Amino acid sequence: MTIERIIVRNYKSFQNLDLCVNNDMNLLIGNNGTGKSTILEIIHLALTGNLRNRPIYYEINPYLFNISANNKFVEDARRFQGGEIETVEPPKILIEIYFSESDDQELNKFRGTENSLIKDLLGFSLSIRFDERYSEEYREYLANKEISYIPTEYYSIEWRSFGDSIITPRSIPFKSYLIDSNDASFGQLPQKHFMGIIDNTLDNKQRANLSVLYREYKEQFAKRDEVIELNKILNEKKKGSFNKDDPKELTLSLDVSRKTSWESAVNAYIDNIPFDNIGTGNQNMLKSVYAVQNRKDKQTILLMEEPENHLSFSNMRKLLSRLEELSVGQQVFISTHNSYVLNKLHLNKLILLSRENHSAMNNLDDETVRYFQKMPNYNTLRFILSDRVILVEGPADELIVTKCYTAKYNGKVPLDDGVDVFSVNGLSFKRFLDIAKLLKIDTSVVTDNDGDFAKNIEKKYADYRETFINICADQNNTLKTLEPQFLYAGENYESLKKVLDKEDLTVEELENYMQKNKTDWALKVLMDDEEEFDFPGYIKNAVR
Amino acid sequence: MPYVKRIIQAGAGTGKTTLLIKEALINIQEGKVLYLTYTRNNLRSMKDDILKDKGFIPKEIECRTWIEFLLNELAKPYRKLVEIPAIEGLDNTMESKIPKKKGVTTENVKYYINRQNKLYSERLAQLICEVNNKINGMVFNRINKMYSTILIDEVQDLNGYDLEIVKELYNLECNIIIVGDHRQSTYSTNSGRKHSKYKNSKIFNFFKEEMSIKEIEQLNDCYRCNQEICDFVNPLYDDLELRAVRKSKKLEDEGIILIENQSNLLSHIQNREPTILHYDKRIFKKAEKYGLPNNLEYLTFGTSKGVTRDHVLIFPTSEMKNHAMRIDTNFKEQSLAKYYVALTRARHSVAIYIGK
Repeated sequence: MTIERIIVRNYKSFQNLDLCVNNDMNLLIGNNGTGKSTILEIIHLALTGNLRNRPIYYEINPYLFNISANNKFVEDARRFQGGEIETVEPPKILIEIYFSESDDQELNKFRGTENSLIKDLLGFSLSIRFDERYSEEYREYLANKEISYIPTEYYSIEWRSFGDSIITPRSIPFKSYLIDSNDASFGQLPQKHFMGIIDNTLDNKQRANLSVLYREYKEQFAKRDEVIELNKILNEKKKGSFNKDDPKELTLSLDVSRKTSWESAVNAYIDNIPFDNIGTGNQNMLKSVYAVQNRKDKQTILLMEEPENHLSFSNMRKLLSRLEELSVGQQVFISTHNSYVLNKLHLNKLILLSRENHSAMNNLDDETVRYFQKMPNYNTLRFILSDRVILVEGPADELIVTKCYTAKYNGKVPLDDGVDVFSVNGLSFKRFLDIAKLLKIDTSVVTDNDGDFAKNIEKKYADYRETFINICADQNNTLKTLEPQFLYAGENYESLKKVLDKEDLTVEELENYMQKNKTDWALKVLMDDEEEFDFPGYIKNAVR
Repeated sequence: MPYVKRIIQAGAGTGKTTLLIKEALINIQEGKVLYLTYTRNNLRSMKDDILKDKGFIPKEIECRTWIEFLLNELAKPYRKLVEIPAIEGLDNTMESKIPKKKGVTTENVKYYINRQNKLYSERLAQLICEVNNKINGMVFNRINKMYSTILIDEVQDLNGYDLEIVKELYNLECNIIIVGDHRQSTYSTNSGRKHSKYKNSKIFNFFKEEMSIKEIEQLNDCYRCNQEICDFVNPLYDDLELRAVRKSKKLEDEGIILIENQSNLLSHIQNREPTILHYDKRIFKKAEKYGLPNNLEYLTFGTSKGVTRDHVLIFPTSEMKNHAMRIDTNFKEQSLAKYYVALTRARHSVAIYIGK
């Protein structure tokens, strides 16, 4: 029993989101502002009714709505006032959570076609929409001169199963834990949150016992001789100030009423240090572990916002392997900015969000997944988030490509235009291209022909003929690598002699020198700003 | 795995509730149990009985009334597929009072909903049958996935298209037990023409004729009333053979008592504190006239269904009175049913006031 699909309309950055998710691990990747956190927020809101730890009822405001929905409403209101249209439809936020098929009888209550796909499926929807009871107030509101926001005062919120019955978040058979390492910094007491998680691991009996025990302790306080004595003294002091009929006994005691429950008074200690004081990294680690282990009658969904925050590298490694262990049979959503997290927790579980659309990578070749798992420090995330990538074989190639780019575009470096030049081991080209293929990343590969164009280029890259993949290599098998390619291009021999300060070398000697000092010559070429160089055709092709 | 399929004709006081509770509690081991009955009264007493028996209602048992179940679990989930607008509730207009719209056939959505998008409750079952046919049985397929056992109580309260739904439920891959007493049909759920020949007391013919079910179980052992009461009731129907299970005759087991005048009435009430069974609210005027004490329990014949008391006192209708006085009576079906219900409420004594 897991979440299979999420459809969202008009919520924050998502005007229309239709996201199919993995039944185990989901790694949400994307640039800032693409809605990674919003997806976690949406899932948590739909399953618990809470937004930023407060019931959504208190949190409905115009900023929850997608900006286009708000703009359309304002525009419609203006046209309504101008008499161009008859009515103004108040926009509605819709979140639909689809479950995977199940034989569970209780879950089949959620079956029906009351969903935007109009298909016979399991799930439920949450809608934040105009409440018809306020029709009159709404009409008056529309008559206002200055309308710039959706009047969310007249909105209400409703959970409904796909079987079309009104439900409460409590009846949803999923439990959701949102662990947000950023949140801890402002206000929200980590202790309280953690106790909430702990509370959920207890069964009713354990909870009741703890509660009774706590009350007994409090009651005992009032029965201690010292306290009785103290109360006596307090009452002595007021003697004579009151008449007989005035309020009499004054006693000090601990509050035993319901509002001071054990959860707020009992503290968790980790190795004798109060939970609040153990550091955000460890707090998050513990929260995640307890949340995942809470598998009682409800299926748990674990939502984690940037687990890499506040953790040292070694602790992050520990947390990740723990997460990997615990996530068996457990649905997890993790947003991250960290390649290590991504590579380690399976590249094929990635969901890439961008402003226009989003893509998943569950078709990624197993071997490629394992490759990156073994090389977790590879900067896959940087690759994935680039608009355009040029993959090169080594540092010399990187420098020359950059130089070529600068020469062509009046001194701009590739990153100025969002072009990322990546130096990777030649053997990894195909691994990266596998990713590029699935995510449609505009990728150029700059590579040597190593003396056999047909074998090393044509045959090797035969599977990558997509329009957005551009394999750049020279067909001349006598110019095997970058050094001869660059040296024999146009008038470069003369210029190189000057730049490298090797005026007396023959062309063969210079080639030999360059082969031996690969980065060195390329760096000098890059830094030089007097000579004009000619660039090999395949490099020009890459910076096109 | 073979499923249990039982249809039981249960006389008054023969322990059908006990049987259903027992079945419900056994069957929760297989999965969820759905208990359906027509009236809210019945639903409440079923819940009370489970509570008495078990101390709580296990979460695997769902007790629901027929109409509520039809609306929420059969009509609503698939209304989108047949382009019915969002359903706002029910309109309880009687079939004969529903405005006829020109050219609107039973194929048309407008036949089933009023202008406020409320469904006519009398056409609810028919709508469900239509929808289910159109979408290849999806409606009942959903129910099949939700329950392992379905118990239908007081099946005599159902008729018309309701019976088509009973048929669909019977044919699901789950256990089903249908219980009723065709003699206790004091209600009728809708007044349409569909299956009208199986209305009320003919309900069990539906199972025989339309569903070709041969085996219908009979419950005749009466746990409630003593033999004297059974003997008095049995002649009311050709097919009634109630046998009292309790043999020991207590002093207070007085069977049938005819009370002829006001002073006997008052002393009987003083001795027995019986529950008063009556036709309608006009009884309260009478009670004042006779000077009855005001701490007595009053139930109409209809609402007394399913109730058990030690002693009852019936204020009869004229038909009932004639019968009690052994005058030849031609009962109307409904009043005979009410008479039968009233007579079978008491463990020990049934008093009938035949005075003025």
